[in-house]
Amino acid sequence: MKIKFFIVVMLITAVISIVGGWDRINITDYTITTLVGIDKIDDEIKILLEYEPGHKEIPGSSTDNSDNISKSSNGEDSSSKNSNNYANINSDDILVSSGNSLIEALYSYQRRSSDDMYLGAVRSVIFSDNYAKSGIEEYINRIKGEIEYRKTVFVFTTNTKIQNMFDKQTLKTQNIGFDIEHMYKKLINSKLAIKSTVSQVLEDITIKDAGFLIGNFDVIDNKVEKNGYTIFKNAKKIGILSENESKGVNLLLINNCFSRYMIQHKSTDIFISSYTDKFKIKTDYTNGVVTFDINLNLDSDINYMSQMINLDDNDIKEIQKKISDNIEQDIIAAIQTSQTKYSCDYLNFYKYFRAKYGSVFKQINWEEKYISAKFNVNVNSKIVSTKLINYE
Amino acid sequence: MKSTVTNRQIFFIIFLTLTGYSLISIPKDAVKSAGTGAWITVLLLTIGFMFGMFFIVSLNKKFEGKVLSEYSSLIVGKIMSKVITSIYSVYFLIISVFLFRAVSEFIKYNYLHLTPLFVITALILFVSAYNSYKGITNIGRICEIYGIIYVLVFIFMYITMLFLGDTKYIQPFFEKNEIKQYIFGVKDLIVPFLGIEILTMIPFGNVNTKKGRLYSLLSVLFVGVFYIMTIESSIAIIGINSIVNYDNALLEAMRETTIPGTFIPERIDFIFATVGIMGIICCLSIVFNTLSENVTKLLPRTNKNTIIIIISFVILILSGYIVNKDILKFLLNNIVPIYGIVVAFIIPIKLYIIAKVRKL
Repeated sequence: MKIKFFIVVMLITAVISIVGGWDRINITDYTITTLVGIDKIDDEIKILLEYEPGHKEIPGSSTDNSDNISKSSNGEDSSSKNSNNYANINSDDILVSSGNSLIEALYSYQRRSSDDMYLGAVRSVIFSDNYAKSGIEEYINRIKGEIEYRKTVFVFTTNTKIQNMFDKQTLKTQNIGFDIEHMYKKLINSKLAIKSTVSQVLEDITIKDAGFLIGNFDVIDNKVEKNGYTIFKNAKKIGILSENESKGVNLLLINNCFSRYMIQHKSTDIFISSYTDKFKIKTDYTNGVVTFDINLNLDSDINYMSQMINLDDNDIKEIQKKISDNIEQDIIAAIQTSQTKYSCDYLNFYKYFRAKYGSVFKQINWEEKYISAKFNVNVNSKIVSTKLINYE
Repeated sequence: MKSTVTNRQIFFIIFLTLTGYSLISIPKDAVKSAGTGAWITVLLLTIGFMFGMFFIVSLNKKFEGKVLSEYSSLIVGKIMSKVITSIYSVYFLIISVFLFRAVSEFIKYNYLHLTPLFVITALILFVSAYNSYKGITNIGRICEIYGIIYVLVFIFMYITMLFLGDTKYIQPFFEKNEIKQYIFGVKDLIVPFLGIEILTMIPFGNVNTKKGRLYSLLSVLFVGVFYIMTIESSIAIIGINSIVNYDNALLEAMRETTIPGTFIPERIDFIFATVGIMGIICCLSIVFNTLSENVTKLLPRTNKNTIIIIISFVILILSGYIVNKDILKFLLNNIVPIYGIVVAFIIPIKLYIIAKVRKL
């Protein structure tokens, strides 16, 4: 009798809780966002959203300006509430909302759209130059607090006007959010770019003495292109590293970093690709001075030469030395830029120091120590293959 | 019906009870109390709790086939025995209310945002009650099967996380200046180790007398090692500074782990939704069973099934309506650690000494 009673209770509970779909919300009732852009113009925050599936009727999205090519909006009256004037975006798939603060902007979105946002599908978040300079910590913390956001979402900055970044017709693409994500993932997989995710930034932001880097995307010749890194300190943008300057940064921050070099040797140009084999940083702290010994071993391949010449053992040795010197220069340049130009440890050397001197790190002012830190860079490059071409 | 369990089942029962829920929050608590040297603190606690475990299993071994509420009447008399049993009953009631509430909140805020808390509590409560109705022998069998899956899957995951994470975050392993912090961190990490006292309600049979003690002690040691792996792999993924912001640090770390290009699914946080919650349900069933056994011993004339149903509704009402966040926090910080030490250490040690003196 009692067993039966128990089973009945269990069954009823199970049925009610499994079937309980009376308050379901269909996924098509949401605006599935794929790319979020944050801009700031004269204390007014603008949120740009790209959503899928496109061409959905949303009140407030721009419809009547399909022939207007985007113009500069910096000189525009910021008090204007109608955000269609702001963007002049060439597409139906973008939604713009604005307000004095992030919260206001979100409210304005809710007042203007028929559907709620679904953020679980956001591929990347892009900050404009202005917003990045005023500090990204608020939005990063919003991503942390919002339950739908994944923390593996990529965050980027852009130097171009953010409305150009969202202009699908000019960029001739289906979905910018997915495009950017794929592009950056490909770069990470081929060891050409550092990680730039929310979870990474959340950890880096906690060290106020040091800075961090996130990827930068610009629109160049009507195409989205990864263009260097943006330097952040205290979650505020303080500068930008071009692709050329970020060569040394990549070598320091990426495991098994891949790099290409061109070496001049005996009237010919030799093209070389090299992979980091061993990378070791030793740190020492004596008499208040921080020293870093950087040891880098690389495996290099000779890809091709502009003119075929014969190479003997001495030539190979000379080439190896030239590669090592080139790489060493890149690394030293990267360190010097961070020490003198920006006086900020965005190269994450503090991690190596903290791993050895944990309690010392808590007491010292890392920024001061980093600027006066000494670096000994030692690079060894070995030519391991000539890609089956015999140069002898 | 004498309900007994085998040695291997004892191993997994203890293992799942201790790790079941604590796994989620231990990385945060450990880092908060002892920084990167948290493994030393955990190791110290492991040794301490193995010490406490020794007395409980020695008593169980001495009085074969009896549980604490039965042999305590032989040692200190009937009235004191009733007092001790009621102390244990109240303790396990507090623990059950706390656990059911905490687990329901965990499931609600991580997986089922829109489901009312009450429904989740009811669901896991009825499953636990049903397991408890079937008795400790059946729970032991479930734990044995689930436990093996649980251990293998989680260890695989931890190794993956350690490889993918940044090992610079988990250093320095040891610093001389911080020894004080390592030792005083012990007091913040008592709660994850509580759970060994459930063995007071599991009788040792013939099969357990020889190696039961060894298995129980090994289980606590293994829990310590498992905790250290949890802490280190979570830190390696999330980072030492931001991990203190997450109550569900392990789950958060698993969400951020992506295994690149393998035949295994890229995201591994589904493991917690399946295997992890399986472990939690085992833990809840064991605690519920211990509570109902205690109350049954306290009220010998009442039917066990009636008691189980009454307890279910008491827990449902307490954890669903009466206990709120403040009470939960107060329980966790002030009541549970002290009360836990009383029931896991002081009472068994006293009973053991009295039994020795009286040459029982």
